[in-house]
Amino acid sequence: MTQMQPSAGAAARRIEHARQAEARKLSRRSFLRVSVFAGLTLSVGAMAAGFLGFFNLRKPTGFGGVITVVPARVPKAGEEPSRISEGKFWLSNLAGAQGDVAGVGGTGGILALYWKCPHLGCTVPWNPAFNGAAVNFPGIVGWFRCPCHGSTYSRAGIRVYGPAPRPMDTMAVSVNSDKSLNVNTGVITSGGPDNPLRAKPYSG
Amino acid sequence: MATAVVARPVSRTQTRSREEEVLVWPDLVFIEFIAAMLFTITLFLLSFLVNAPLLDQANADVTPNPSKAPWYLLNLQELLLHMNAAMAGVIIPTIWLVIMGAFPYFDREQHGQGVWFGTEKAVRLTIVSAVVGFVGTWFLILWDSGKIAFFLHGWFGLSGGDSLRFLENVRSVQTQLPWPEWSRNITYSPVNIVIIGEDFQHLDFPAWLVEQGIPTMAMVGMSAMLIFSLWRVGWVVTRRDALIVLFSAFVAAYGVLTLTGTAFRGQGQELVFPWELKVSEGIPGQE
Repeated sequence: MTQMQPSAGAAARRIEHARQAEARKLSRRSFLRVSVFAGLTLSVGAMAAGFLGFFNLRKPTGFGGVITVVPARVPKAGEEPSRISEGKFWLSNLAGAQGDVAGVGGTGGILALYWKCPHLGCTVPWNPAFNGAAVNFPGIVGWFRCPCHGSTYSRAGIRVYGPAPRPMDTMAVSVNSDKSLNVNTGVITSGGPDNPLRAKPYSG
Repeated sequence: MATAVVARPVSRTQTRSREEEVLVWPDLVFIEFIAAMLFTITLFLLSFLVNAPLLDQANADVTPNPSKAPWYLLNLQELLLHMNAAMAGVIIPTIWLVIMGAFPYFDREQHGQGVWFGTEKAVRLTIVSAVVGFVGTWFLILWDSGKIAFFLHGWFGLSGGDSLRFLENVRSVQTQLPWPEWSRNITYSPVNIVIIGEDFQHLDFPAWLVEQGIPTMAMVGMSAMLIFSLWRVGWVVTRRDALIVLFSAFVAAYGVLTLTGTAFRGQGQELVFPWELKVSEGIPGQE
């Protein structure tokens, strides 16, 4: 029995040593718990950061920002509308009551028409030769005609037929002192029968 | 009365040897699955690294003129030319599919099932309804594209003057009639619900009439009138007769819509003859 005493003490020390080593190790349970919560925090954090990122308004250039159109690209009054691709709009320079097919009393001027069709969003081209509206609008040649569903708009974007629910949308225009135009493609107003009244007077 | 209690045999899990088991998924499917996964992952990685050389072909600002769906969807695109987008694209196809699915519940007659032209006047009804559907659909398309007014004006020098301008096409009913101002803004809901920028508190009656009212009246009304008049002359007798009329007229109308959308719609979806149909790529300056 006396011989057993030291060995029992050594065994107890070994067991205590192993217990402490085990306690220092990360248990599987806490590892999983930490992983789950860390993963959850990361993904929720990433979503929250992405959401908050939307509030950081950037200053877009090109479409969405202010586009400056040099005077050479601005059509003369009564000329065909010109395509301003970088801003996705047509620049119409109405001569007098031109394009005012609904008769709201337009007096002419510069109009920036967003070229996205208010129906289902196709890019609306200008058709300079179309006079298929000859019955109700005799003598008016040149209309915007949507390639997808045939909505037809006057030079001022007034819808005369087709499935589109409203006239073409307009963008905010301001005339600079050097006859160039600032078109704010981020400020788009839903089209209405008053489109011709939104035209900015321009003498170039 | 004695109730017999029958002891059910106790089921015991049968042990099977490995050779007796058959995989629910055969080995080939596993191999195909792994191949599909590898392919997907490779494609995914590749798409990260290499840009598809679409360049101008993927430019949304360059729209071919006319822009058309695949031919089998051109019937729907043709409908879209004439009415509200949600109605033509979603509501009408859904309702019609439900109606077709309900056919066997409406016609419960067992006798003569599955027999072509199984009723007495079936052939006659099929022909008449198909002709009416064909002519009627063409008439509506011609009207809404302004062609009837155009032909009357161009060929016969007829003009309705100012009083009949509203008949040129469907949209003219809204734009050429002196609708009173209140009818364009009828409040029907106490609260304003705005869905994707659309105002659902006020009803623009002329717009509603043109985009939804007249098309609905044309489709439901013409079908009902066709069945009613064929019933009055005594050709439609049973429910099956009515369904034959409805379905034949539908097939004809569907065919006309597909044909028109495919072969008769030119630039700006203008109604043209097939030999006049030219497609522009829509590249700026080359239209």
